[in-house]
Order: sequence, then structure tokens, then C-alpha cells
Amino acid sequence: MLLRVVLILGIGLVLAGFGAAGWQYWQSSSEVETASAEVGAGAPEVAGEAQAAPQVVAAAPAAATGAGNGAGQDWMISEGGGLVPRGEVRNFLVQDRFVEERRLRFRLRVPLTALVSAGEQLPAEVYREAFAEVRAGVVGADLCAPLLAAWAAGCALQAASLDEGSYDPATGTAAFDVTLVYAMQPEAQALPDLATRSLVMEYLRLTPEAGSAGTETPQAFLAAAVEAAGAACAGRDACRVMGLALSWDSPADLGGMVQLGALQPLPKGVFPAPPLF
Amino acid sequence: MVRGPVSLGVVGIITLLMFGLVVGGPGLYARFLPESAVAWLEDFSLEDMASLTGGGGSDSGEPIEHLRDSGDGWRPSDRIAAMTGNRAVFIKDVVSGRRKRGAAGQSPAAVEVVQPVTGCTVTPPAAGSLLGHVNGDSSSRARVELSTYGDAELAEAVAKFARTYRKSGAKIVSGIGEVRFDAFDVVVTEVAQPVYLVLQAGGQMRLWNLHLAPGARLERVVLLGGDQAGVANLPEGVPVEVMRNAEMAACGLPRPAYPLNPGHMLYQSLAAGHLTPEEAQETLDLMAAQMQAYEEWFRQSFGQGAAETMAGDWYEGGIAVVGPVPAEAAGRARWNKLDGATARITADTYVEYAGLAEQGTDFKARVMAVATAFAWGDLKNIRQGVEF
Repeated sequence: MLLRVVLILGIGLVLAGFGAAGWQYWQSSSEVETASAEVGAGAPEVAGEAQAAPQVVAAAPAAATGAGNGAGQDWMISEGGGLVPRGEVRNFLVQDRFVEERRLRFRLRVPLTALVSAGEQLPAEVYREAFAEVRAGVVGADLCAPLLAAWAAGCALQAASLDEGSYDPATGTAAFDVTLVYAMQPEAQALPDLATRSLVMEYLRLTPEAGSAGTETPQAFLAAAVEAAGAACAGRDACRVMGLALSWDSPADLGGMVQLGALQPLPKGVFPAPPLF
Repeated sequence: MVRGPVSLGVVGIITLLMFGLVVGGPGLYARFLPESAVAWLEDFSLEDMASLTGGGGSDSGEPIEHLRDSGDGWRPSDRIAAMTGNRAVFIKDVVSGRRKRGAAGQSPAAVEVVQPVTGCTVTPPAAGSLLGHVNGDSSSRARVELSTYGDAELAEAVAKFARTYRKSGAKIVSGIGEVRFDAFDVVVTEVAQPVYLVLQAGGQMRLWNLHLAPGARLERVVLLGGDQAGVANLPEGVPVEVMRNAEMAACGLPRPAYPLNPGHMLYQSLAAGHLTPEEAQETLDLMAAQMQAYEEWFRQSFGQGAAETMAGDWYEGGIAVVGPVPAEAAGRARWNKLDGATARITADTYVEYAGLAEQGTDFKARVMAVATAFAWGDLKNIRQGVEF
């Protein structure tokens, strides 16, 4: 009796396992075929899809509010065929509100006099570092403007703190770590079917020459970085600024990195496996 | 019929009393019992009862058996006091009426501020006096409700407060622990000659609490080391000279150093192969040089060597004896509580202790006031964060 139970259970498990795998394969094959028929043979470059993507929207309005713009989807396929981490998926797809992963991190050095209000004096020397810590939020207050002027629809200060030990009494400056989160402006074009695309990360390194335009102040450098990020995505379909990390200590000591996310067709032989349930 | 409930009640009361003893310690009954009874309870507290099972908590055996050779240094039980030559004595044999300090700490009733010496030397001992030298380099873990601090400490606490508050909204002020004194007890049993006390602290804020045997006389007390230093229960008219770490460093004076115990971490690391013999020797050579420098300076200042006169240098030791073990109970020192005592301390801008009746001007209040002023009058202005 026991032997029969074990055999039946084993056969059941095998059937369930292979059945699920077969169902996934069948589902993914049919989706890829449909998408290929809509998009065409598949563009080798993301830029080449600019014309194809609107056709998907036009052909499948439902996709424009569903898979087409990514709303509600919490998985994407990476360049290597694996799943993209949830945070990055959220960063890329959830454009209309703040998400923790989409942020600007800026370490910048500013004079403490920038923290005082009108008619106010800096406190005694011994308290200046504490003063800078308490007022760190002031440093981040005016950093949203360049983002909002370019490609952000919303921007807010997530965190700002004094870089401990960075206060320099000789120059009266201190370094601050500021984190802003931002939402992206809505895009005119909906995304293509995400089951047919992989998410690719690109990194734009910012290494301006000392003293060149856009290096004079932290604000100028931020504006230049925002412009560079926008330019890197300009003209490309489904290219989004997923984050910036900047550092400005002086016009001669600065740098940064912009993280861009973009879609490209799935590599040959890669088929997405939709969830079973 | 009645005996049953009565017995139950008696058992219940005893259980409650025992529970109170375990949770609150003997100090819980200090208001109801005579001091001698509380002291007896402390001597036989459950902590010590537990240590009877192997912790070395009883007064059995030789005092030196209560000294453990640990990686941090010589680590004493709370039954023994240090004497010169790394000898140990049971505390009960040198001082009577000793009270253990509760977790809440004790507070002096009054504080007098003493100034550190202005030069780089101290008054040497007079001929015919005994040099009593105690080294309490590590923390004694005996908290005293006495603190002193300045604007630098307040500023640091404000910065820490801001970092915590802006994220969590919790009004947590930390930092008072770093500016609070700890206590180290010094028992003077020498009565044949006046005692010139040299009390050397490490990097902490140290309050030396003196307990003198009947007939003991102090010529002078010299407090060395510590960020701040002070002495309590000092007899009237005894001069105090202080050279804190800051003054010693400004004068280029050496820091105290003594030979390591055999079980010290350095030797353990060497045995385990974490240190090469060359690395260990390099460290030992540095220490030897430091020892020699301190020894020379000490001898020059006080007429005798530091190592030969020193009592203490135990890890988290909190009591040392200057003088012999009294032959009779009458010769023992009488324990002086810190509560109600006058402390003479070096001080920064602000001093806090329970006896000071200034309300609303404690460390926390000062930190909050500064932080609020920096935050344009409302701490909410420094809150940060975005809801996702």
C-alpha cells in the first residue's frame, strides 16, 4: 500500500513539473511570435525601435495601459536572460512617483554661510559642525531645480547629512551627502511589450576637466550632469535616467556617474517564462 | 483551618522579598533595614552566591586566588583590593562598612572646583612620609552621578541628536555617559607616617574616593591623568594638585606603563600565531621604553620608582590599599559613601550632579535647546525623508 502511495506521488510530481515547464514554454513561444509579428523581425539596436514602439501602442491599446507602459509588472529580463532585481524594475517602470531606488546622490562641499538665514550669524566655532549637521537639509533644498527644469516631474529631499569630520575651519566649508528622489516626466510613447525586451544598464561617467564650464559650483556641475544625462537619452526610445551619483569638492575635484536604463530586444534563444499563477 | 493560609502568606511574603532582592538588589531595602543589615545582604547577595559555584566570589582561600590572568590584564573579583607588588587583600580585611554601589550610581552632595597645576611639576613628598601610589588605568565601572562638560561635548551631542532625530523623530540625546565620572576607592591604612598619595588615572573621568583608617594622615594628594579628575572624602586642609592627561601631554610627560600579565592578549596572539615574534618584540620594546621613561619621570618627581610603589593596574579594578593590612578590626578604614560627600574636581564649563538643584539645565535640556535654536525654533524643521 505504502509503495503505491509513493509511486503515485512520484508520478504526480513528475507530471506537475513537466506540465508546468511545458505550459511556460508554450506560453512564451506564443507571446514571442505575437510580438515578433507586431514589431517586425526585431531591431538590432534600441534606437531602431523608436519607430516600432508606437505601432505596438496603436495596435494594442490595452498594452498601452498594461504591459505597454509597464504598470503593474514587477519583472523584467536582464541582458543575460535572468530576472532584473525588483528594485531596478521598479526604478525603470514606476515613473510617475518616487521610488527609493531612483535617486540623485550628491556629495558636495559648501560654505557654512550658505546655511544661515537672513540676518543670522554663524554660531561659535565649536558649534559649527553641529550647526552644519542640523541644517544639512538646506544644502539639498535648491538641488531639485535643475532636475525639474530638465526631465523630472517631481523631486524631493530624501536625506541630507554632514559628512562627519569634513568641516574645514580654514575655509569655513563642509561636505554634505545629499540624496534626492525624483519622478520622471511622462513619456509620449508607451513601452513595447516588456516580454520581448531586456533591460540594459548603461553608465555615463562624468569627468569634466578642472576649471571647465559647469565645474564652478556644485549647482553648475549638477546642471551639467542633468543636461548630460538628458542628452544621453535624447532620441532613444525607452531610455530613462535611473540615478545619478555626483561629487563636487572643488572645481578641480569633482566627478560623477549617471545610470541610464534602456530596452533592447531579447537575445536570440531567450524566452521569458511568465509566472505560473 | 487558619494555619494553611497563614503559611501560604508567609511563604508568599518571603518569595516576594527574595524576588525583590534579586531584582532590585539589597539597596531596595536600605530604607527599611539598618545599614549593617544591608551591608550583610550585599556581602551575601545572590550574585556572590552564584559565584560560589566557581566564580571566586567568596572570601575563601587566598586573596590572590581572586585575581584572574586575563587577556585584558589582571582581572580581580569584587572581593579584593590591590596592594603594592601586585598583591591582593580581601576588602573586608582593610575597610569596614563597605557598601556596594547600585546601578544608579552615587552622587556627591557638593562639588568644589580645583584648578590643574600651571607648571610641569608637582610638589614633591616631604621627608618621612610614605608614598602611596595607585594606578587605576582602566574603567572601574563604578558610575558616579557627577559629570562635567563643555561646549565641545554639547556640540557633539547636538550633531548626534540631529542625525538620529531627522530620520526617526526620536529625541534621543546621548553623550552624557562620556562625561560622567567613575569612582575608584582608595583605602589608606598607613598610620605610622603621613601619606603622600599619587593617584594615576587613564583616559576616563575619575573620581577618587578616599577611605582613611583611624589615625591616618594625608600630606598631599596628587591626581594624575584622566580627562578630568577629582577626589572625594578628602580630609579638610589636605592640598590637592592635579595634572590631567592634557597637562601631562602639554608638558611632554610620559604615560604610565607596566609589564604585561602572562595571559595578556599580546602573548595570546603570539602563541596563536596572529603575531610574529618580531612584531611582538617590537611592541614589547616600545612598552619597555615607555616604562623606562615613566619610571624615570616618576622617580624624579616623587623620589621613588613607579613600579615598586604602585598598587592597582588591574583591569576594571576599583579599589586599592595604601598601607598594611590592619592586624585588628579597629585599625580598618571606615567606608565613606559618595552620597553626601564633597567632591573636589577639575571641571569644564558645566557641572552636573544630583545635589545641584538646577532643573531644566541638564545635559539633555542643553542639547535640545541648542538643536532647537539651530532648527529655526522647531525641531520638526530638520526632519527628512520621503514616503514611498
